[in-house]
Amino acid sequence: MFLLETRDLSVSYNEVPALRKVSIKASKGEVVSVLGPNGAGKTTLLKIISGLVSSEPGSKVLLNGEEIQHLPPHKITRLGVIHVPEGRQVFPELSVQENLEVAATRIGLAKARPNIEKVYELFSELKSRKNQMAGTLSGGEQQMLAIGRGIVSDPLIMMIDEPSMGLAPVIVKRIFETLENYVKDTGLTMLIVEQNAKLSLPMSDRVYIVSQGQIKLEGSVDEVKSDERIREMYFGGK
Amino acid sequence: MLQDILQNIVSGASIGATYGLVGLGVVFLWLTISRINFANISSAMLGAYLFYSFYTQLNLGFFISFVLSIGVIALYGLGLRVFIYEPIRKRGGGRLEFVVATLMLCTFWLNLIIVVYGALPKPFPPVFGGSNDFISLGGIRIPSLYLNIYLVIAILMVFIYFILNKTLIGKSFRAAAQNREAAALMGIDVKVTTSLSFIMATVVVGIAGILLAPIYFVSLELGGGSIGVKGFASAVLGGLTNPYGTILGGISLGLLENFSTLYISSTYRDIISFSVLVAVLILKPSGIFNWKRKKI
Ligand SMILES: Nc1ncnc2c1ncn2[C@@H]1O[C@H](COP(=O)(O)OP(=O)(O)OP(=O)(O)O)[C@@H](O)[C@H]1O
Ligand SMILES: [Mg+2]
Repeated sequence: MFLLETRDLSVSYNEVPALRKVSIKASKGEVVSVLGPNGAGKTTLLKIISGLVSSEPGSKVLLNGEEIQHLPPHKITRLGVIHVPEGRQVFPELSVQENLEVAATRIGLAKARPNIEKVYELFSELKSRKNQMAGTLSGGEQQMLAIGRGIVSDPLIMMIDEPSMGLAPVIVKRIFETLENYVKDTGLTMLIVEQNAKLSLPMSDRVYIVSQGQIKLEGSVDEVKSDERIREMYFGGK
Repeated sequence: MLQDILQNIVSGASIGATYGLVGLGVVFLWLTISRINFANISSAMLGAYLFYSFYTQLNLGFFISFVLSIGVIALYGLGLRVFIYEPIRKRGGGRLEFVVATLMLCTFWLNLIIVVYGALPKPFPPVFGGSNDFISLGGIRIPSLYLNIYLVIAILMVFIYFILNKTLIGKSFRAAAQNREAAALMGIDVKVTTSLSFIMATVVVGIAGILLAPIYFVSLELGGGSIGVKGFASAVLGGLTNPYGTILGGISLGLLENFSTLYISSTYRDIISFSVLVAVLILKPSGIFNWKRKKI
C-alpha cells in the first residue's frame, strides 16, 4: 500500500481545467519530485492534497488507503500530511519561535519541543533570531522557517512547493543540502515541487513530469533523465 | 485648580479606557475576519442589563452575577458567529451583508430590551463604590468608582496579553489573523479561532457595559449612539488593528472630552471628540496609536 496516493484528480478554475485526471503515488520513505513549467498545475496538485482546493467529484486522495479528499485542511494536516506552501507563508508578526510553536498544533507543544530544538540545530540562523518577527527575516531565513515548521509537526509526508523560489544560489544550495541530510537521517517521505530539476533530482527516487494539468511522464530519476525531450527541457541538452 | 485638572485626568482616563474596551470589540473582529460589527455596542447594553438582572433582581451577589453575565455574553458571541457570520458567509455574502445584518441586530436588541425591561433607565447597584466613596491621594479625591474601573481594565488587559502571547490558542489566534490559509496548514481550526475572536469581542464590550453602567445607568444609552461611536473612534485611533493602541486611543478621547467640558462647554463635548475622529480618518487613516507592533 502507498503512503499517499491520488487517483484521477481533476479541478477547474472558473471552468478552465487546471488538472486533469492526475494520479500520483508515494511509498513510505520515498522522495518524489514533481517537475513542470509555470502554470502546469503543480501548486494546485499540492493544494488539493492538503485540502486548500476542493477537487471535482471522482477525484480521490488516499492516505494509507483511506480517503481524505473530503476533509478540511486542518484535519488533513493533523493526520500528518504537511504542506510547506509556495512563497513560505510565514506569520509575519509572530516571532520565529512562535511560528514554530503554532506548527506544533498537530502533536502538542510538549512533544514538539525536541523538534523545535532540532530545527534550531539544522538552521542555526533561526536560533539566533528566535525572538525576531518572521516578517523581518530574509527570504532564505523565511524558507528555512517554513521548512522548520514542517519538521516541527512531525510529518508522515512533507510536501514542499518550490523552496528555491527567488533565493540566491548559495542559500538554495544550503537549504537543499540540509533537507537532503535530514531526509537521509530520518527516512522522511517527501513530495518536492521544483522547477529547477538540478536541485531536486539528486535527492529524489522518482519523478513525475506535469504539463498543462496532466502527467506527461513518470519514472525513476535515471529513466527520466535518459528521456531525450526531458533532457532538453530541464537539463539544457546533453 | 491643579486639583480640578488632576481629578479630570483621573476620571477622563478611566471612562476613556472603557471606550477603549468597546473599541477592542471592533478590533478583535477586524483582526480575524475583517468585518465591522455594527451591533458591537449592543454587548455593552446586554452586559449591563444581565448584571442588573442577576445582581439586583435575583440577588446573586457580585461575583456570581459578574461571571454569569460574562458567560451569557460569551455564548452570545459564539451565537453571532454561528447564526449570523457563518450563514452570511456560506451564501457568499461579504462585508456589506454583515454590516446590514448587524445594524438590524443593534436595533433588535434595543427593542427587545424595551419589551423586557421597559424604556426607563434603572439604577445600577453601587458595586464599584457609591457616588460619595473616594480615596484621598495626596490631596486629590479619587472616586472609588474610577479606581475600580482602572483595576478591572488592568486585570483584563493583563489577561488578554497573557492569552494572546503565552498560550498556544492565543498564538494560533494571532496566526489565523495574519494568514488564515497558512494557519489551517498548521493544523489550526480557524473556526475555533474565529469563535474565540467573537467571544473576546463580545466579552470585553460586555464588561465595558458593566463598568459604564454606574455612569450612564442601566439604560438604552449603553446600546447605541454616542458610546458606540466613541468605542469605534478608539479603535480607529488604534488603526483598527492594535489592541493596546485602542485602549490608549480611548483614554485620549476620554481626556479630550473631560477637558473640553472643563474649559469650553459640555455642549461641545461630543462635537469635539467626533471632529477628532473625522480628522484622524482624513489625515491619518492608519491610526495614531498604531505603532509597528512587536506583539498584538
Ligand atoms: N485561484 C486560482 N484562480 C484561477 N486560476 C488559478 C488559480 N490558481 C491557479 N490557477 C491557474 O491554474 C493553473 C495552474 O496553476 P498552478 O499555480 O497550480 O501552477 P504551478 O505549476 O504551480 O505554476 P508555478 O510553477 O508558476 O508555480 C494556472 O493556469 C493558473 O493560472
Ligand atoms: Mg506553483
